[in-house]
Amino acid sequence: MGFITFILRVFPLYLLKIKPVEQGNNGFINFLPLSVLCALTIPGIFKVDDTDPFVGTSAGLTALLLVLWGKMPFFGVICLSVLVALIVKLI
Amino acid sequence: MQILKINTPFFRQGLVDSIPIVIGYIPACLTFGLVGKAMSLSSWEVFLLSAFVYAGASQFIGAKLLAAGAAAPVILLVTFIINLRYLFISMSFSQKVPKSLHVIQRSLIGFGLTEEVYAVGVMSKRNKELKGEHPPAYLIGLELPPYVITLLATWIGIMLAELIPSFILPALNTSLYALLIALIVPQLQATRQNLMIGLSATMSSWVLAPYLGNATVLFAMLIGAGIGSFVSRKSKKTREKMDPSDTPRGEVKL
Repeated sequence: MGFITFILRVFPLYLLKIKPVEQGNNGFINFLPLSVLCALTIPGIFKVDDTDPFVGTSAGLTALLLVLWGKMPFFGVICLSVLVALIVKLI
Repeated sequence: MQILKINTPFFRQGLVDSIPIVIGYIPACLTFGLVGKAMSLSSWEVFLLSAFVYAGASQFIGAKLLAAGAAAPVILLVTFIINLRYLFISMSFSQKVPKSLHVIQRSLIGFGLTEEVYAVGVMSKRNKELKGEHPPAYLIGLELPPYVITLLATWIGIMLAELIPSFILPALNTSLYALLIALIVPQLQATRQNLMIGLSATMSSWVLAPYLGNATVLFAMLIGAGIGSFVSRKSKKTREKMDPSDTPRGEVKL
């Protein structure tokens, strides 16, 4: 398992040494970061607790509001979101 | 050793940038330790999965398959499908990795490349503005603390397996999602094109999940990036039609 994961991660980095990936400003690869993170995150947070979707939803909404507020550092956003999820879970 | 020589200021910057990842990993890895033990795997099996696979979702699925006594080819195939996304992530991240790196540095950086490291390395406010490659010392500084904390937190999770109530684990697992939301939202706000990429990837992930299971993220990611690429080309063509002076002299437009 470790070897397969390692190969998938490292292979493109080796490939680059042989032939650099040609990229325009609007190439497909430039859109991958945002695309992969959205595909992972937004559906995932609702499924974080199989029995209670409000746990993930509350954490996600807290994170979203704090980010939109714009005055909270990353670790503050994470800690407060987890705290809200814990409170919702315990209620 | 020359190939592992570290440039301190860049390394320190990497360490600072890794703090949100570390905070996000602690609860997730504690959970993995607890869940692994709850599945009746040995402490070493759980720890080594974390140490060698180091890939979030596939660790959990690997632990489930191991506990269920699945055949090795099945475990390897599932791992390959789930982790195929790393091929694209690494391809995108390669633009930020210096081309002159030694094979050992390249391997170390590749091993430590997780979604969260990638997100911070490519999409954090400071790194988004940075054009070109990251110094190797920065990348090592960014990747080392999350890996070390993964090992520590997994081990602590294994040790505390009988003390922490399992029902709070999903709440702790929201930490990684909170980190990713903090990275995504400013990008979605930036342009309509980004919003379209985000919406298409999210909707694809939602719609395809019942049919594709663990391979959903891979396909949703490709759809999102494909739509982004299509929209970008189309708007470029529209701009060119509206302003033909953009066309270089002698070039024929089709």
